[in-house]
Amino acid sequence: MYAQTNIQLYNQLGHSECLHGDLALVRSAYELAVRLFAGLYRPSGKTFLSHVVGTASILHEIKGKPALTAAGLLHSAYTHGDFGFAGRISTRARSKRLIEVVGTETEAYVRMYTEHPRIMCHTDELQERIDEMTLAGREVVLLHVANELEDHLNGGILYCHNAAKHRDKLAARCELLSCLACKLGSTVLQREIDRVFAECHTQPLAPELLQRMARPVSYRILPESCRRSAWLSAYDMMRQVLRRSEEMKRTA
Amino acid sequence: MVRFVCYRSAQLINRVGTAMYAQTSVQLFNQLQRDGYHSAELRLIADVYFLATRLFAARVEPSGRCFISHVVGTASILSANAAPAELVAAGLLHNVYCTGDFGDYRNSVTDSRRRQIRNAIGDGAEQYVYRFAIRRWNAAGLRETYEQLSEIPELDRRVVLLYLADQLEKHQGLEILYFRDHEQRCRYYREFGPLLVDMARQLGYSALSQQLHEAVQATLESTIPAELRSQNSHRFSYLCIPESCQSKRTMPALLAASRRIRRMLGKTRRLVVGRTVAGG
Repeated sequence: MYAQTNIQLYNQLGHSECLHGDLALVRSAYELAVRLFAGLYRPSGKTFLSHVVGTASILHEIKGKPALTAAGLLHSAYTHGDFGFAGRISTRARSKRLIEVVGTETEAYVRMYTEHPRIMCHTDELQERIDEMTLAGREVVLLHVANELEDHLNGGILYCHNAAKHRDKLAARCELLSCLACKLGSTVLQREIDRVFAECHTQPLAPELLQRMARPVSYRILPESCRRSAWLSAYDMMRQVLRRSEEMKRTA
Repeated sequence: MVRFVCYRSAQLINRVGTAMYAQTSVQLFNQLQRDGYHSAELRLIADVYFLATRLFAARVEPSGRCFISHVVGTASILSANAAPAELVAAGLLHNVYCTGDFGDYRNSVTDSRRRQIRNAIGDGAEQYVYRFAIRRWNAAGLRETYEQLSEIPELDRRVVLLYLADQLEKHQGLEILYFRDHEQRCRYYREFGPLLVDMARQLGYSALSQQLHEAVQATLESTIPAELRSQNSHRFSYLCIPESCQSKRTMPALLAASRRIRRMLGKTRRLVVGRTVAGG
């Protein structure tokens, strides 16, 4: 069972032997993730934070490297993170902010992850290249695999709006990920991929529980009070008070 | 090296520490299908979940956990205790009148809010949510409820069950210990923990009562590394406003300030130029 909340992730770290500094690093990464991914959801309707926590939990289980676990928490920071000013903030400023919080090693993983977004599409080429890759490069591939695996945990992918389409691709996806895990030399990960995808195969589709809107990618829901202007809300409130006082007058 | 300290058996900490109950929509939906809710009930609960994602968007517990995880956990506990679908749906919105963001900058029960929730989840489920909001859950209120438990109507007994599920959920994975004011909260549970356990027993939920007892004991007898404790000053759940919305709010203020400074500079320049001309 992998963590889906920060509490479960912290408990997982606590049960393995971690240094105090490593715990502080993971907590800082999580706190930044909360700010960057506020109000963000996966296409299945699951919170984005649960997804990044799950990815970090898988990485911690497989690798146990704190910088990589922290990178798992922030892996989509550059693609999905809200750094303010409606996305008009420079890449340099974003990376500076990440380095300030989690350090250069974790930021390098996140940057490398973002630089190769379509890495999982060119599988044959990737499999050939893995042997020549540096250790960091291989770890980034592991990050991609953990990200994909997390989406399939508990059959999560089968609650997306286009669940049937995802279901058709399950076998091919499983084969690819399993192959990559084998190339990366992680038999534990390979076993986990087989288990998770086997669960997905047996899970029936429930049309009542599918995501209502067609959301192919992660989406953000802004809090209502951020959507409406404060003036409009104050006007509404004033109208309500007036209406109530009129009603009171009438009843009196 | 860091290890969590638990004075009870390692088995217990693992059971409380790992997910016993759902924390995500995906886990909850899987559980609901296993628990045998029929199609219309599943549809109602899923609709309520998607409404909750809107009303609790960007809301975070003081421990840093998503608020959505808390309401999903509460619904999961209710489902595990064979609660009717309406009560499970109410579990997903149980504190919506106090913490939900309706865009009206309020935190109380209002007619318009009630209407909105009633339209979304139906009259029956809204009654649970409403009664949960108006019942007092502070020390005096809790004692009063405990004393009158055998006399209160069935609807209110279910609301008490909702409250007990909410309390058990807060102990999942020792969450209380991750709060900044954990000592104060532990004192509360030392005093009222046995009361909650007995209330669950009196309502006829012996498994829930046992779990509450174990969870409260585990929380009181365990410690966690200080590095993992929340550093924020929030005592209750709070809205983590997305950065873009923050800049949207501060941008007009910044622009107005810069305009005022420019105007002042212009005036000063004109004044200086005027004096020089007059002097010349």
